[in-house]
Amino acid sequence: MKNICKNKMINSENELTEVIIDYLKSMDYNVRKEVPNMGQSADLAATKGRWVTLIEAKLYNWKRAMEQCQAHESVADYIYIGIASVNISDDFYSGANKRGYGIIHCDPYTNVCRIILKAKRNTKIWNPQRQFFTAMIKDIEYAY
Amino acid sequence: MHIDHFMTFGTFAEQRYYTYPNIDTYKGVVINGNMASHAPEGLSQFLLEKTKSISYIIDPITHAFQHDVSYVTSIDKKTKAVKVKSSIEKLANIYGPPFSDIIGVKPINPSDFTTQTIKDSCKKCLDFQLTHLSKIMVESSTNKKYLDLSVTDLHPYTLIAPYFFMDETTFDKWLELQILFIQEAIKLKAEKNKLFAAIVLSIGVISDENLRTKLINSYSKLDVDGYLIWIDEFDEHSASINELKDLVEFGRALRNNKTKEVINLHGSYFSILAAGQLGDSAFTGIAHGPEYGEYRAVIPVGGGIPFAKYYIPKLHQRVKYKVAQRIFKEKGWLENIELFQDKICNCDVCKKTLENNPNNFLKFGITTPKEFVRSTGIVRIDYPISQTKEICLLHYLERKAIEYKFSATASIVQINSDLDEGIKLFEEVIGEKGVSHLKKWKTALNK
Repeated sequence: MKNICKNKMINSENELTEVIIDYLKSMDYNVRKEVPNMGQSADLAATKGRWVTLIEAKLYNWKRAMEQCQAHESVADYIYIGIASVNISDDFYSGANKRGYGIIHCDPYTNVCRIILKAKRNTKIWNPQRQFFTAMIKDIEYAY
Repeated sequence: MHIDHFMTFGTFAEQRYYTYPNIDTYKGVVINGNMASHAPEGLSQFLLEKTKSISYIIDPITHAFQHDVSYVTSIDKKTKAVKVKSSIEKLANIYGPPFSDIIGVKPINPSDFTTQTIKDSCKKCLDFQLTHLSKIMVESSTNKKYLDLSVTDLHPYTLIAPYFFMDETTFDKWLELQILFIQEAIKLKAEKNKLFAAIVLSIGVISDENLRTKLINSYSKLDVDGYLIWIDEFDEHSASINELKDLVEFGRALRNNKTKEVINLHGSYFSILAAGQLGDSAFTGIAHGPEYGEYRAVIPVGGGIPFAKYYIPKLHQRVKYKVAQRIFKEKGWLENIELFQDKICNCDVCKKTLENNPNNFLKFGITTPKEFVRSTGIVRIDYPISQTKEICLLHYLERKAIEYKFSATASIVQINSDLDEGIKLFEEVIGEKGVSHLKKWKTALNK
């Protein structure tokens, strides 16, 4: 996995999002910010070819992220939670694993990101919603 | 058995819904007094022409004057001065002292009233309800050319005596004044007009046996035709069994052996059930807004992002589109149209929207993003498009009309089976909490 270093501590979700964007770009993803999906917005949408990965970024509130990710099951091939907490609790890891979500952990002090749980391919996509989503996302500029 | 179906008036943009799904779906419309004072011509036209003379009730909203002045004032965009909202100011001036004296200065208190101002403001409040819209309607060209109705024909369905909100801590403070107002209203009203007492309470009052008994004893002695009740922010979907039971018992007590009308101003399917066969007519009528207003805070809390919500018939609840879509997908009900119509809905709106293709359920959730610049960067908020809002609302109204009829005419076995079916269909997908309201409703209403 490629890691990115920055010289700034992650203090906000916005900063976390920027760190994750750099991380995803280094893996050749096209990344968009604040992507609407059924009345909420995914923090990040990373696309590569026809594959869509949606990411919710939280400093530490993984439970809220898990709730938000549920809506993304209708449209995303892969779903990740980006987190900047110092530690990853067992409940979080097992909960995400059970749902098939992945975890990108970004060290808040070093800004080093790595995938500590790989997302499983989501099989709950509803095609009409996915088609609507992919048509809509084209109108959103990349985050760089 | 029949349940009177009322709808509260929101905005003029919604006026076409008051004849949907049929012209005779609604017994009447409940109009807030400040709306009546502010836009009488528009409302008169709405009542006379758009709804073919639907019954109406003007809620005098005298309680608005007892809350913090910030709720009745706004900041002038140009001058930045704090001013009283014009519709409330008009109402205060109509009612006269002490309403007109204190408006924008301080909340009204029982001590602000004298014997004379109780008489005077009560008369003005009742006259306002009787004549403010009817005098415009009777003089309108539509009436003169086509309807030829008298001003008496155009009177509201019932008058409402001035009233105030009471919770457990303010009950004793406000009760006496309310009774005095009602007694005065009884003296003033003409024989041909109905008079209701409005009872606006916190659930704590009804749940407190002593307060409830005192309340019933005080109000049941009054020679009124009925009651308009409003329990502050009482969400029947999350209320406890005991609270639900207390509400039903309260309704039954006010009904006084079914001699008085009782309208619940903000009720969901639970209240509709309570008004029907299962609840043995604990209420005579239930009101709600166009897709909102099944519960409402006495002190309004507005704002928030509007989400597209779909009313799930067997759950008897509006849920966010994304949740409904997830549930239906998981249950496999979006695989073909027959499953959709059998398990979800086959109302006219759903039939027309889906056009025999369950993929068109998407239309109940189409949104468009709007961008806002915040200090942290651009934020996109997804809003339902107007067509989405329209079909969600129309579907809601279709289902509501069905619920009123079902509750009034189905057997108790059928009504309970419907609740059981909802529990069985949804519990495994949305969990125990998601269906607990159905279980609580069933427990609260069955003996």
